[in-house]
Amino acid sequence: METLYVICVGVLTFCGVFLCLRARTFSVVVGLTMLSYAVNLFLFSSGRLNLKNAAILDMSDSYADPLPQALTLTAIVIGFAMIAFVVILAMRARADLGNDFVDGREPPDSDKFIKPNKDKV
Amino acid sequence: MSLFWITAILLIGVLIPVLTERLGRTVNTIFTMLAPAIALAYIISLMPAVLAGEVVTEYLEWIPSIGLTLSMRLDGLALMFALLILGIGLLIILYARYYLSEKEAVGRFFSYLILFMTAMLSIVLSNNVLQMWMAWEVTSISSFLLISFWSSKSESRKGARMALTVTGAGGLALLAGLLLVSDMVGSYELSVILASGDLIREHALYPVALILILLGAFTKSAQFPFHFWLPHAMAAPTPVSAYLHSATMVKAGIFLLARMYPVLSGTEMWFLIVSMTGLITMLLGAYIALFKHDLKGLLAYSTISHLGLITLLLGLDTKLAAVAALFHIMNHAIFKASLFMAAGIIDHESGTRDMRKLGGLWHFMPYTATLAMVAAASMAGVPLLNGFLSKEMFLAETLHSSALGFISWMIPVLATLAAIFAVAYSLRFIHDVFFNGEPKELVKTPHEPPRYMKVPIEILVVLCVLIGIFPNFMIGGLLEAASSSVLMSELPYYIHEPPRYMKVPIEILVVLCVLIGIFPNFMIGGLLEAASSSVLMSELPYYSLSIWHGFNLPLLMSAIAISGGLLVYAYRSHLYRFQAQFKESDEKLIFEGAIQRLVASATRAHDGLNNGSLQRYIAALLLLTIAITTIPLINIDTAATNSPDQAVSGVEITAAFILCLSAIATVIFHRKRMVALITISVVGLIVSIAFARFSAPDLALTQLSVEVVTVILLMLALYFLPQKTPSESSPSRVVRDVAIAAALGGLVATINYAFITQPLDTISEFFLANSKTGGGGTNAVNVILVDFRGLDTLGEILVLGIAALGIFNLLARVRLAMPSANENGLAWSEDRHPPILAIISQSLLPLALLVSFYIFLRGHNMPGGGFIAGLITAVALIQQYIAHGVDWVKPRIKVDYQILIALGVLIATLTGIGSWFFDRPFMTTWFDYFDIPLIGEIELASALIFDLGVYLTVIGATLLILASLGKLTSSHRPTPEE
Repeated sequence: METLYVICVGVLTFCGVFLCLRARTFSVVVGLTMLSYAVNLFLFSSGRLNLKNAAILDMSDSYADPLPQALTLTAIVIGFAMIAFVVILAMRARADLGNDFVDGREPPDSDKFIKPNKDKV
Repeated sequence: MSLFWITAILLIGVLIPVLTERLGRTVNTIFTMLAPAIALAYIISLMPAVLAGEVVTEYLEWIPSIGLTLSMRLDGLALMFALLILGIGLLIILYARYYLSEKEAVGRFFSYLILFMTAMLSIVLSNNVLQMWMAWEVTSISSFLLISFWSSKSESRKGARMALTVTGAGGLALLAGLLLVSDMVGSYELSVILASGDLIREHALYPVALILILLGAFTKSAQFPFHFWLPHAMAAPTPVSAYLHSATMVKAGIFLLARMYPVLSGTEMWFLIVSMTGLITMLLGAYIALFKHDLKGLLAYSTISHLGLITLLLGLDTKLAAVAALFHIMNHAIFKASLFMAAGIIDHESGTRDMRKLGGLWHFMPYTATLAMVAAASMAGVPLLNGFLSKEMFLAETLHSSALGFISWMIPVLATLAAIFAVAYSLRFIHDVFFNGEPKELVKTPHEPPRYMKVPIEILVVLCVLIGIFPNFMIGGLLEAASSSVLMSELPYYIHEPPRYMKVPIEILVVLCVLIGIFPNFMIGGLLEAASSSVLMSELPYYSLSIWHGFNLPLLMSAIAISGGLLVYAYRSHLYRFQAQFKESDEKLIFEGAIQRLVASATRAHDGLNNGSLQRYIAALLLLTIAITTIPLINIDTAATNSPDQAVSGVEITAAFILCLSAIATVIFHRKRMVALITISVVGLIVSIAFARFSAPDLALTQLSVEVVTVILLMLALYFLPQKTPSESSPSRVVRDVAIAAALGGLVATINYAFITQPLDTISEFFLANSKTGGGGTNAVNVILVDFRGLDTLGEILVLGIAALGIFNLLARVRLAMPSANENGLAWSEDRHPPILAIISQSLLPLALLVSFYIFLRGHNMPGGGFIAGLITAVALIQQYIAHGVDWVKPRIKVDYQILIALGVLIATLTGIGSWFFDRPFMTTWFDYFDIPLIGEIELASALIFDLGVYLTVIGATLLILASLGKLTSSHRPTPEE
């Protein structure tokens, strides 16, 4: 099970990092979301993988480690705040710069030239 | 009074010159001299004790736990330097008053000077190596300010920059060296370090520490190959050259060598590096000095040579050599400072320092000439003067050195050679300036006074200097008046004796030269002994400071030096012709070239890395991450005890398969943004299922509700962003990114596997044990959030609130492009709010609110709590926005979400503060059980109120984000016709 778990974390990291390296803001936002899944799972697993041992007292004989859970819980909420901020930033950048490139301009190695948005108000 | 007062008073003294500048130059000078004078008086009052062998130390604890203590130490070595710094400093201030013109910013100059003095004193008085290093750096900086005092001159700026670069770089090396040494002995205290010589010398890192410290000392003391900055620092006003570049700052390096002598010397390495550097510097300086036509240039190279001599002495492994080194430090400071001041007077009164133009000045300023001659004779090592004594000791010590083995004879021979050059350049200084024909190319050639008129003046001046100079003001003034009255009337540009008091500092120094030369024991015997013993830290070897030691080899060497010097000077034209064959290399050009190349390559590197592309930065950052995580992983033993995997069921395999599939699908379809959004929400769902599976119900609930909110947010955002990403990454770029991502994914998975298969070692036992008894709840996760780690949660909701407010502001005045149709050109549906959705969501609202309330209440004991309940409430309300639109919701929910956020944070904080009223630490939970009729026994905990704050903040933040974004979509939606 551990092997399966870390493979999933690895695949999520791979997808997240690849998307983060794209040139457009929306891909980066999706990539960050994916990365935060990976990171949360990674952090969570520091309490090891326990089945049916929720850290609720008197509900089972042994308990899963509650500390990583508490930390991951805050990480999820903070991650949401961060992604929300980044996505709004991306929108704002598009409004101010007229494009949705991460760099704010056409990357030098892109194959074709994309005209600035004409539908900008 | 305490030693700390010395630096304190001097620091105050830094301000005085600026404050009193308006009172006129004389008053300003007097006030400026006040602080150093007090400090000097205090030092002198401590002198008897120090001379008797006492080491005065004082401590001021700052952060003692990490060894940071201000501490002062006054031993013999420090005393000697302190007297030099303060004594010569006072004379320099007096001299500078006459040297600088009315127009110049004298106050600023004096402030810099006192600042430098403070720093220099702090170096010598410091008993803590970090403190010493700080002061060391301040000397570099204040020296930069002083060299560049005439900042309008290009050479001043360049000279100052060069000095700062070289000494600053050395300072960094010194810091590293001192830290290494401190690490070896485990203390920054000098007294501890000085007592651990053997420990340091036997340490494996001794060579590294030695070289780093020597780098600091050699750059500061202008030792070869770092000597080049000193001649260029001569662009400074002459008082600065006299003070910093002969008497004090360059001696800081020597001081460091002397200070660390007890712990660092005594090894083969020390001997070789220090003595060889000193020897080369001494020879090179003496040789070049002869060819310098600039007076200050000559003195600068002579200073380099003498510093080399002192370094060589410290590098010779005999104790007497160290004594001689200290002796020469004092002597050199005295005669070189007076020579510099004499050079300044010549420059001041004749308008040039070029020895090819000067000449015959004896006729115009015999008094100055006499003083300069005595000092120069001391520099050359002429008997009856102090320079002779220490040079003789030096020559004697070179004879005793056997450290070069069979070729040890080279040291005395080369030393004599350097001494020959010293005599020659001293002779040149005197002869070319004061004799050797007439001044050339000055505005007008002065009149030659009658031959016999000069003789009595010459005799009188020599007598005045040699016998008793104390009452010489009268005669000096007379001479000045006589010389100038002879010449003044005819010349528009005349050369006259400098103002009387400008000469006083030189007079005092020259008298010291003569006195030490004649009565060495009486004058400085005690001081030298105290200083030597603190350097050697052992019994002093026998030495004698008398003038006459009988006919011996050193005396012969001196004689050779003097006669050789005379010969060299007499035949100097041959040497000049020989030297002229070499192309003259300008260190300034070389240095500036090197700096420019450095800057150019730094700019290239910077431009290459920092090209404004965030994409590239991320790639670079990730590559670095890969590099630094891979290395430790290689070193992990694969055979480490890993516990075996738990059994895998079909459910898990299926879930993992769906997870990976949808994650990869997200990547593949990422250019079709809507599809990517759908696939990533699948990933999120599986992640929450995983949390539920692995015994984390709270996490599962949170992830699920966050997932809903995130997807709504991203869909809203997508409305304003392009629906598709054009394919624009080149294949090589894709390959590169896949490689980086794969490497990182692999690394993360490896690390993850490495630790989840290790036995669990956790601090959570405490939380589980105290969750019920201390926090009053059975859900340990929730109790950690609202109680044990409540402060973290408080910080977290603050961050959440700040993020929401930031988003609100980002959206406040944004002008977004509003698409009128979807990507395929289809217009948006006319039916904006389908009635079925509206009705269902409206009827679901009370139910959803009830659920969230229940989840909130039970959170302390069962999965749930403020975060989850807040998110559920937020989702329920957002559903209303989706189903009915902003315009419908707005009049119905009259809640200002910003206030809600503030209220939530406030409630949470006040709950925490509340525990103060019961004399408990911040955020102590109170709980009790109450028996309420009809309902039964329930528990009430203050943590519940805290959780209420969390709850309100989460609702406020989430709704503020989504509602302000959603408002944009409906405020003005263009119709297809528009």
